[in-house]
Amino acid sequence: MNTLEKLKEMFSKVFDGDIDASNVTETTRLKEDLGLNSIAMLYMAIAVEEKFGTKFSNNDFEKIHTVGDCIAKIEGRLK
Amino acid sequence: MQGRIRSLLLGGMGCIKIDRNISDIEAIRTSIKRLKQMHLLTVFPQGGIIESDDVSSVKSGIILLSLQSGAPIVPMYRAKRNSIWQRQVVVIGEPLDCIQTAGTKMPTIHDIQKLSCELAARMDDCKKTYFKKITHKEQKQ
Repeated sequence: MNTLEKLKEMFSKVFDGDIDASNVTETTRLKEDLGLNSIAMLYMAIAVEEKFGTKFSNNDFEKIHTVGDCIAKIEGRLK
Repeated sequence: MQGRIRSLLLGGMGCIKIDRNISDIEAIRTSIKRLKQMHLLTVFPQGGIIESDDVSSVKSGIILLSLQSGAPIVPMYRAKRNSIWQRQVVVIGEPLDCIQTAGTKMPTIHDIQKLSCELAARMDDCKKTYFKKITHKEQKQ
């Protein structure tokens, strides 16, 4: 299972019906398309940390706008 | 300069700086760490000190802290004082164990919202207790 699939699985578990994970792609925007508010963003970061061991900083939040950015962070490619 | 002094003073007193304009994950992480170290943490669940008596607008950040640290939340109601010379009354409510209530430390976002509502209800109970006591006292006089 690749990172995107793992993230989609995590989204459907955590956001329970609020997000149709089957439509999530790397270009999906977290706030605009998935409707994540500030608390949901924090919870996503906590869930990612729990699942992948990736720690987010406040600076990362400024750079992460899409699911692809989140994958880049997990895979250590976020600049 | 004034801001730096204030920041140093508050930091020295154990306050955790939080930027409310962003999703401040670093402040959340520091808070979780302190709670795991068995420190007590005071949080204004509405996101700050509010002037009104409305306790319903609880934000979910406090629930995340409780879930990730395992610390229960003790709801409180701080009654308004008419002057600084008046005694401060605080009503302490029934603690809310978020992990026990949700059954997991990673529940769904809906469960987190439900926990926020539960906390608001417990804070409201504290407020009602206060006003019940005040009314009872007034009737006695």
